[in-house]
Amino acid sequence: MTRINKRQFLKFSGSAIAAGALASVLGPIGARAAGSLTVAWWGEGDQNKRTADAMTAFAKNSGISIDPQGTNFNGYFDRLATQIAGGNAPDVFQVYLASMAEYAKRGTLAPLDDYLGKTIDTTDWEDAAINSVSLDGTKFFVPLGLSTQPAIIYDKTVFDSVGVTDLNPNWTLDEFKETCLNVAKALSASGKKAYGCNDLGGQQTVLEAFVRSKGKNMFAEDGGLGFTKDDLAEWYTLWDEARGNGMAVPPEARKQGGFEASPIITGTAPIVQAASAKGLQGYQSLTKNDLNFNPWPRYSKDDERVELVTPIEWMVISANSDQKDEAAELLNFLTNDAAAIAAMGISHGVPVNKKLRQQVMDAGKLSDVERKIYQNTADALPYSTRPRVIYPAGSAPLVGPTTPLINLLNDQIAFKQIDVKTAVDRFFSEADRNL
Amino acid sequence: MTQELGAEKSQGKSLWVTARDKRAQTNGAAYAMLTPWLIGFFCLTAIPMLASLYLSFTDYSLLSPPEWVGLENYQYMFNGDYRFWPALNVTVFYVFVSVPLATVIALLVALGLNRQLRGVGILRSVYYLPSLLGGSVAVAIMWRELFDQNGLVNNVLGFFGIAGPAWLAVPNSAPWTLVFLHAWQFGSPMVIFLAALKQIPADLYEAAELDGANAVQKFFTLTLPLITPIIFFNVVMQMIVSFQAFTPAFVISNGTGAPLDSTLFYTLYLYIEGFGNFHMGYAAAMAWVLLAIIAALTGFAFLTARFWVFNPDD
Repeated sequence: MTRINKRQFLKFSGSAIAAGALASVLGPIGARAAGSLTVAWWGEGDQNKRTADAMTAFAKNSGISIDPQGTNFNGYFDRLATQIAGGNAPDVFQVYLASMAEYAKRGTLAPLDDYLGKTIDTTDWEDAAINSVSLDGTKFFVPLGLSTQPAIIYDKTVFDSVGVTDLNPNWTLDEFKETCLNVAKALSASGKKAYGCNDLGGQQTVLEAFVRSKGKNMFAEDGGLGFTKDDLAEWYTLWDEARGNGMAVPPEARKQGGFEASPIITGTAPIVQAASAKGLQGYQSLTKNDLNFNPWPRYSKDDERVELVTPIEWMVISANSDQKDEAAELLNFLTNDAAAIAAMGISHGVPVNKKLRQQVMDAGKLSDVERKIYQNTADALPYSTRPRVIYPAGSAPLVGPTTPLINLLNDQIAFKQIDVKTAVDRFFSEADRNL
Repeated sequence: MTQELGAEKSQGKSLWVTARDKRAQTNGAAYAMLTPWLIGFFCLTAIPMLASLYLSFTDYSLLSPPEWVGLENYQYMFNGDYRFWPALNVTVFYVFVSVPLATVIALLVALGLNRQLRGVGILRSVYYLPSLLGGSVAVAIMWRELFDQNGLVNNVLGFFGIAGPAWLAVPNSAPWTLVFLHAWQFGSPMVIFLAALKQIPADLYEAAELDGANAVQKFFTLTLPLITPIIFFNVVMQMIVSFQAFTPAFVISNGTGAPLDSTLFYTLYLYIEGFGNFHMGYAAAMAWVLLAIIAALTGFAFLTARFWVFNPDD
């Protein structure tokens, strides 16, 4: 009869634990090609190929060799953090809103005061781009493209089909609610239960639009939150009621999945949001209906229309790079060269360079969807007068990409696990800890 | 032995030294052979483990050097982190439901395959296949597709007129899909059970049959007690591995633990804290607490073993 000796057992299980622990610690180890400029970024679909094409064009023009490291968003930041911790940071890498301050604060980024406005020409940049390059007075970030944020997308065909008045870009919050309820009622009358809009209570960029519509900011200049407990309570209550009265998709009607499971595609609700305007591509590829943008509503009829045109992705130069000049040349090329824009398309948003943006629009070669995305930025610019405060270090757990607290709490309210007050208190106490 | 040594000693110092040299020589050779393993052990296991123990007492963002904070990480974990306990809860649920389930299934299948049938070898291989695929990403993705709103599971249910839920979008059902995934991968415990069943001497069964025992009686009075050591082994090993489960939860929830943290396994939360939220020191502390939990439960299992595990020496 087989008997397992205690010592053998412990040895076996011990090495199993060790092996498991080891496997979880050791990620892929990136080797660095000597002499060439390493550039790391993320993208989905054909974005990576497009961005790599732009780099190839640069390498050809300048004679600077490039080692492009494009990956998916999943895993990008793990790898980047590991590379930086190991002293192998890429020369140039892409960052984004929820964590870029973290990288700057920790001294991993090269200050670009000597480059921005010089090697990297900013003469023709939109203000929205120029306003996003600094943290605490030091320039670090080079924006790759612009977009509205959030991008509220609606299905014009559906609205037309039920005779609900087309959306007015100057609508107010009350009109938004009313429109959602009306379209929900009209659609549900035909048999299948439908709602006005998706549940947007957990979407950080939409919350940002809401607090901006009240004249506030997501984050204050001093690095704390830019809104109050009352604002957040009002926000969560809005969505709690919306889920209850048929205005927004309730939790039991949620579908799982990506674009294809979105209410605007499944016919569950004709208004959804995307993190940025380029998301329209994803939705439009799945439906023949006419999709378009409408801004987040004004807070009330006495309040201004407030929109936000902003970069959605930035490139930075590593503090340890020994090729900062070459890196700056690359960044100038990516933002100011027509060839780069042609290669990248809208994979990082519309060009930050006003002249190039106009050129692309005038050339008339844009697809229908691309034209809508360009037009969306153009329409929003006059209303995007107040720049966004760059999110401070520590904002990732609150409003970052991986189960941000703002979303988790909205879900907990939706599933009746906690009430609005508890959610608000929790958000603010976590903000205290992280910011 | 003692006498021999004494004899050597009495013959004078020189011989004693030679003996020591000889011993040193053989030891040296052994160490030389062991070097690759020793290097591996120290560089890849011991030093990283000590480093992680140190990091667990620091505030470490990965981007800048760690700063000593004492017990702060551990204090926050038990007293303040509102996501820690739910994550531990989900993991404990997963371990305590899926391990017994997988063990019972493995045993039943092993019993079924423990006969002389034509083609039983092929059957055994087929049942072992899911485990060969292991905790791989591909399997987890397949699982996600199976339990998708419009996936195979709901299609089959639909055939019977049942409208299946969005399994992975509802907090009540999402962790169960992970439990089923584990239970489906019963291959390795099954193979071990099969080996154990084959070792039970046939004469025991013959004796039992002579005494008039039926199949059920044979199973409960003979088979089951005799394989308790193997059940013990399988349960403990699976428990250890299940506490560390990461891939299925990561893939099925897209790395988020959603919906509502219902698939937020301990290791997934550790990963989110370390890499997503720049709390690598806290993540290291979580890793050590997990080690303590697994060690404690394993120790507890050994304590209970004397009451139910068959020991031929008793």
